[in-house]
Amino acid sequence: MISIPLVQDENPWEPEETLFVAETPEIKTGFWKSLSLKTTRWYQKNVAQNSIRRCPFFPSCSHFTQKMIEKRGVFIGASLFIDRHFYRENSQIYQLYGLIEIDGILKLDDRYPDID
Amino acid sequence: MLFLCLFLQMPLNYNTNVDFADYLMQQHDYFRAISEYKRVLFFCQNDSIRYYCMTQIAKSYRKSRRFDSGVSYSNEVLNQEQLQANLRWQNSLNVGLAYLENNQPHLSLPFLQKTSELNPSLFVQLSVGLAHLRLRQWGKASERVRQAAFALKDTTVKAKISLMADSIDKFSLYPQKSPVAASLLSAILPGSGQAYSGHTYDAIQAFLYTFSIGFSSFALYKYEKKVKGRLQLTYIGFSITSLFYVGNIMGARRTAKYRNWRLESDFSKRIQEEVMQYEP
Repeated sequence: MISIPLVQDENPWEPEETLFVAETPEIKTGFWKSLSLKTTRWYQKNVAQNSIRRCPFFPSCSHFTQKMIEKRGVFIGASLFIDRHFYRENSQIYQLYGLIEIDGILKLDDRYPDID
Repeated sequence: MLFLCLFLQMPLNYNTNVDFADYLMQQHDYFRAISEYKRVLFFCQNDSIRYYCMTQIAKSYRKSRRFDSGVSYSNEVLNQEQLQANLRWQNSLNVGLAYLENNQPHLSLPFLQKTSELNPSLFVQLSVGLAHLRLRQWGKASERVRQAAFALKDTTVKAKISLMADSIDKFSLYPQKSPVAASLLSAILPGSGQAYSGHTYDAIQAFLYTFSIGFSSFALYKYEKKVKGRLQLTYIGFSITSLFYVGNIMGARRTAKYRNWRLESDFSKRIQEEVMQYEP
């Protein structure tokens, strides 16, 4: 007997043909940069997965830190992480940032188009 | 006789299917509309119907925010040499709007300008103005919107469009926060750059963290110098302080840029919603 699912596929669209794919530039990683990137990846895999606490922003602080370290270096990336994690998380954020839905969860939109 | 009836009925089926697909488009059921148009495309050999269906498929994809697919269909139609003028400007407009809604105004502007040459209707003129707005070309945006209002006969709509142009002019005069000034302020007094951009709580947190960690590092330096005679943990303390201090300065710069970007983004979204009301 063939069972027909009651819930329709939420995404019935065919895969979109992507015309514009930006080439990802090769990132030269020194020792400190690769160490800091590995540390953030270790944190994402082992600590964040098991933690209840969630970053209210999108992208999350760890992803933001990775991006900044790749773009701006270890020192600036770490200082921007400190700004993001220590200075920005307060009760005023809901007035200052817009909301975005990611996987059914509302997050604060902290994406800038090439502003950093 | 039966065979003749079936043969005569075949072209009528295409029009019926196209009408049904048009009805689905009007009902905003874009997924099914695309399926119906593609059905006609598969069976129909008439070029004019095929190009019309491809145009509508491109429009449906754009409305469903699948911009790459919409652009590829419209470009395929635009590459045809013998194309009706009606379909040419519709596809050109579709490509321009797809790029605009996909946050690529620099790519949308040439298509929208070409469309305005072929069909200088109200919506097309407003779309060109919107593209200029997204590119932060305030003067050109308000000029284009005023040109669109000038040609109108309906006084109610004319007044609304004129107000839109006035709001663009007013917004261009709105003072922007300087990232350099914010950075300098935060360098002098931690947190003042964030307060300058309106992020008051961020300013308080930046000041408290930087001051407390800096003070702790200084106290540690005094202790090690007095008691131990050699500095060890002081270097770690001052490294951490420098990270927090530089983080405060970089954060102030980023906050000023974010504030400017957020205001522009909210304003252009509001104008875009008003402009899209006039889409035929």
